[in-house]
Amino acid sequence: MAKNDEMRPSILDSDTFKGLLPFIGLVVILGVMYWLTDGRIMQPKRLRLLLSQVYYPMIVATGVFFVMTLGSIDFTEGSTLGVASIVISQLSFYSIPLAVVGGILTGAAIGAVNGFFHVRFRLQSFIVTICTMYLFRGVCAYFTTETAVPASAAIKALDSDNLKIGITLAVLIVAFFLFKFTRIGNDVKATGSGETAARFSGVRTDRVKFFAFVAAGALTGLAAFVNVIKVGSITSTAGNQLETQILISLVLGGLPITGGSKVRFSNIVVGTLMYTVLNNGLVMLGYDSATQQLIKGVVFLIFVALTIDRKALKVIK
Amino acid sequence: MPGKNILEMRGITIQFPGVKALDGVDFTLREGEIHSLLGENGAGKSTLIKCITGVNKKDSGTILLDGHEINPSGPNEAMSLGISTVFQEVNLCPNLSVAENIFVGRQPMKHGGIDWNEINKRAEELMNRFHLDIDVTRPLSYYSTAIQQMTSIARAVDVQAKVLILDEPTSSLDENEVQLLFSVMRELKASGMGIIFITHFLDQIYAVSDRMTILRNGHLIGTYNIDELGKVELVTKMVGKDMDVIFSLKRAEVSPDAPVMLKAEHIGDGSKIDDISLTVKRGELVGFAGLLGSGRTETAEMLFGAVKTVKGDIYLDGEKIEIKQPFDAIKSQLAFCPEDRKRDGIIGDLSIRENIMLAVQSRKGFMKPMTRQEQTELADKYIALLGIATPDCEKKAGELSGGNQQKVILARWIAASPKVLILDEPTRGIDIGAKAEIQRLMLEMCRDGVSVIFISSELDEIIRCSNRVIIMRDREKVAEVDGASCTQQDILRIIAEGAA
Amino acid sequence: MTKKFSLSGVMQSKVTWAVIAEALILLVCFIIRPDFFSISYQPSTGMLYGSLIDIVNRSAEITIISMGMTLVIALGGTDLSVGALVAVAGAIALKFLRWDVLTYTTPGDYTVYPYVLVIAVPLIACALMGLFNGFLVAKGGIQPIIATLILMVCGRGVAQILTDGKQFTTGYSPFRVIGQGSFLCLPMPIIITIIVVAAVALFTRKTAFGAFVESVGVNPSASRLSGIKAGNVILIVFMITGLLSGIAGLIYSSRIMSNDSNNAGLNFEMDAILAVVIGGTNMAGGRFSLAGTVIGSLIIRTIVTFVYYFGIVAEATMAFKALIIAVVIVLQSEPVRKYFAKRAAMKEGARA
Repeated sequence: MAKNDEMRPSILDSDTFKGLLPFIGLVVILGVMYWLTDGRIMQPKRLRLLLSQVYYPMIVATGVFFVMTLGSIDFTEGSTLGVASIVISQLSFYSIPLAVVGGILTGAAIGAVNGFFHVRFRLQSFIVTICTMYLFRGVCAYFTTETAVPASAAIKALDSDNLKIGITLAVLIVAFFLFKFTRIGNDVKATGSGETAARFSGVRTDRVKFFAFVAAGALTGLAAFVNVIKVGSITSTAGNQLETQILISLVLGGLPITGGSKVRFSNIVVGTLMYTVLNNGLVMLGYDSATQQLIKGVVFLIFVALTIDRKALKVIK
Repeated sequence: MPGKNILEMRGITIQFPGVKALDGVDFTLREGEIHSLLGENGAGKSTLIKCITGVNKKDSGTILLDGHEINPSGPNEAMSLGISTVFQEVNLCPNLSVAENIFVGRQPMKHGGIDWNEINKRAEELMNRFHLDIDVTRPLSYYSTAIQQMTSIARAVDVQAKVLILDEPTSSLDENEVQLLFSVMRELKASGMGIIFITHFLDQIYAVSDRMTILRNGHLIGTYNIDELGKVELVTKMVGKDMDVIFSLKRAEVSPDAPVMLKAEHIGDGSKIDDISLTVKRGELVGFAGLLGSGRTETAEMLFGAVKTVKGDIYLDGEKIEIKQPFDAIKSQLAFCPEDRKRDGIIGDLSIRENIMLAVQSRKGFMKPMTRQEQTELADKYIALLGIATPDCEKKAGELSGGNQQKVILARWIAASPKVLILDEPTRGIDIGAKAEIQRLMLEMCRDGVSVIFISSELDEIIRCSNRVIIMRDREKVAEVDGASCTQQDILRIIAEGAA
Repeated sequence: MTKKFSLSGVMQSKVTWAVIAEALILLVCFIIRPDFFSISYQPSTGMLYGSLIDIVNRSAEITIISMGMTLVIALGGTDLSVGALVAVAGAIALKFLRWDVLTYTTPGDYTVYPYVLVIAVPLIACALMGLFNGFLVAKGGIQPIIATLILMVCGRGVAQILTDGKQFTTGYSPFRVIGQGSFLCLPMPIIITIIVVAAVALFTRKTAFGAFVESVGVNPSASRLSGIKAGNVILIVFMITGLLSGIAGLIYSSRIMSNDSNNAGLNFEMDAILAVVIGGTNMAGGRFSLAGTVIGSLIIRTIVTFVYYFGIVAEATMAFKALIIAVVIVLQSEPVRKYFAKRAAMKEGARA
């Protein structure tokens, strides 16, 4: 039906404007926080603290970005981070490179489990990842409930902003390249906007989906390394609610929940920055956690109302 | 001079659970020919196509491409062998740009990365070949169905295929676009490509193809040169019985003093339609003619409340009615079969029973439910009345053939005993037998005093059935002609040039 | 019209698999500990006791919530906010029971505000919050998962603000009845569950509401053109889910006679979604099965009870639960069901 043709969209509905909204949002939130904290949020010390909270969510979000471009969802980030952190801290007593590889492989393996069940048994990612989330949270709880799992001193000694910035930037650059200039990005987008059509066009959709989940897992494993460097020991709360945080960040960044071609790589960066600034600002302003939650919810609501792509009820694959 | 055979299929048999979809079918395609594949729905056309492209596995028989046996495992492999297909059902990715859609899965690379300039440039060239000057970087969903269809054809053509398969490519195109497609098809044919063309439009077959192959119930009826077989013979062979029925349909009689049932005065939706007025008498069938996008569908949607009417008045039986949403229209005993059966009509996962009872039930509201027995009786009644081919009323509606789905939707509305029935392209994409059936039903409804608005792209249908024809052009009503005395030529002239 | 019994048809049904799974888990329990099935009568409390009773009793919250979740999922959506609403309901109830803790310093068998408010206000509040979700989805055009994420994020914050971040306890005995009382020898939560399940079943199947939900879930556009007010259907479904979360919240807080904004209803949304899916309702929307959902919820609780009962390390409960649920879900997946249906069909064919 020719309903969409030739409708003159108002400026508020145009794609360009919607693409810009997250940036505007980031600037607005930064501005408001700057004003409310009398500029304290921009002090170098504060900025460093803020940045130190950005690294690992941003790395995780980069992986999840691929999954969500498919129109799928991944609820396992938190538990993957927990399990991978345990592996890393244990291996760190032997060798640091081994620990890094071990963390990434652990994450990739969890991602592979997700991908396998999602693809092979045609189960919705939503359901698969709820199950694996419970599973690995349980594993994590088993090891950490009694006492926190310590990491070696050697790995804690690595804690420097340069390293963390380096890793984060490297991840972003490689992912950006993969997404923009290789078939991978296009295949993921095509699969997300129409799986059957993509398959008939020669995209091996099952592989693409599997890859996306493995990538999400592997990057979460790498993020676990950055996290271990920072915190030094793993408690039972490691990665708690990370999945919700990432989901909110990406949606704030403008990522459509249905995936497809309207995703932009900038969603990752803008979204995680926005979330962290908001989070930090609220802490600085001295709100208790309940009020913080409330304000976050309201900001999220306003954002979603402004940016969301209004389509009929659509299912998460 | 006929070229050599590029594609030969011998003794193809495909067994589906409980039914032989194809039974020992032979088919040959020559170099540089357009070969129409004909048959009613369920005759095995799509199965044959899917067999060539490897979507359906054959149980016996051989496929030779250029004399070599092939067994493609899927559309990808078929494509790499040189068999390119535009499927009827599978759409493109609506959110990707036109260019991305054309090149998805085989992006040209430069320096180890995707070469976007090349993609956009080549996409533009391709679309220019179809005489379409559009911005290929815009998302596909921005454009009309016709352009989307062209895009998928462009995609298929660009892979330098030896064999091009077009499954119902014209069903959503208007006359100009069809001509455009035909000229491209002829160009491709001249370059030596073999084209398999599937369509329900008989005129198009005669306009463009060289040979035709007819299937019926999975059996090969025969392959003929285009000048060997006339239309009536062709239809007879397809249907397996004489199709005099369709030519014996008589339009309903409306006495001149019949009361006006539906009257719309200066209605507009604020964006597409500005000002339309029309009347329909009791028991009258009014045809809407015009090109796709001429405002036919939009007008119908306004009358039914699918699109909000922002100005003008609608009267039913002389009384002014307010229609804000489809529910209001149904309350006033209006009914509407939408153009896009799959998207707006059939509720595929629900049973035929539920699909049929839906409109009756929604008018009652959910607090006054019909009992299961009432529903079954209702459904069974209309299954029998409309001749819906199904073992029982609990079958999923989505599993029926297109024609039967259309009958289910019709049943939904007839069951709601409407005063005005609006049908938007009810005969599109369904086979001739079902078409005749639906036209007969329409006319019967008229005789029972129902007023019918009938939208169709097929002028012969419109002229055969309508008492009056309203002609739309550029979102305006340009003329109203008497159905009994006008000819196709008259209407075409008005569509092309506007009212004299 | 009688439907012919077909083995392949039954093997294709997800509910069949759910029932088989539940039976198998119970069978394993029985083999390991035959006394798992013993039920005893305790004259002092007038209640029946036993693992089976306990399973049904403890599954009450999830069963009740998942009645609403079934409808939401049948619409093709999800509601992530139910867990937070459980916390909100508890917070409001305890707020009304204790109101000003500075005046009423020690918990006891009293309520500050009339008992009717203690029950009604949380339920109304939760129904309104459900309505808010529905409004965002139906009128705002926001995808359900995102719309309900908002309340999931800030619902617990609301609960904390309502109680000034404090955890109240109460000893008010009428309130205790909801979660710990009994009726006809059965724990009260079971009675409430039965009433809720019956009410939802009657509402959906004895009116045409269920058919409307399924229709909108399969094809919203066609449903609207058939005269269904899809927006209203969505609003009602989310409101029901909110209300049911409120009921579950009252049961939960009555069990602990306290409010717990952080942990009340934690992960309930996930459990409810799992219960619905195990019960055979497809997340893509359409056909739903309330009976299946009840079984799904029982399966989840049986696993947990099993773990407790056999003294498997408490920390591993979650992992263990996930494993068994994963097996059930894989068994129900389309490829596996098709495989078994095919084999069943072949056997039937051989017999014929």
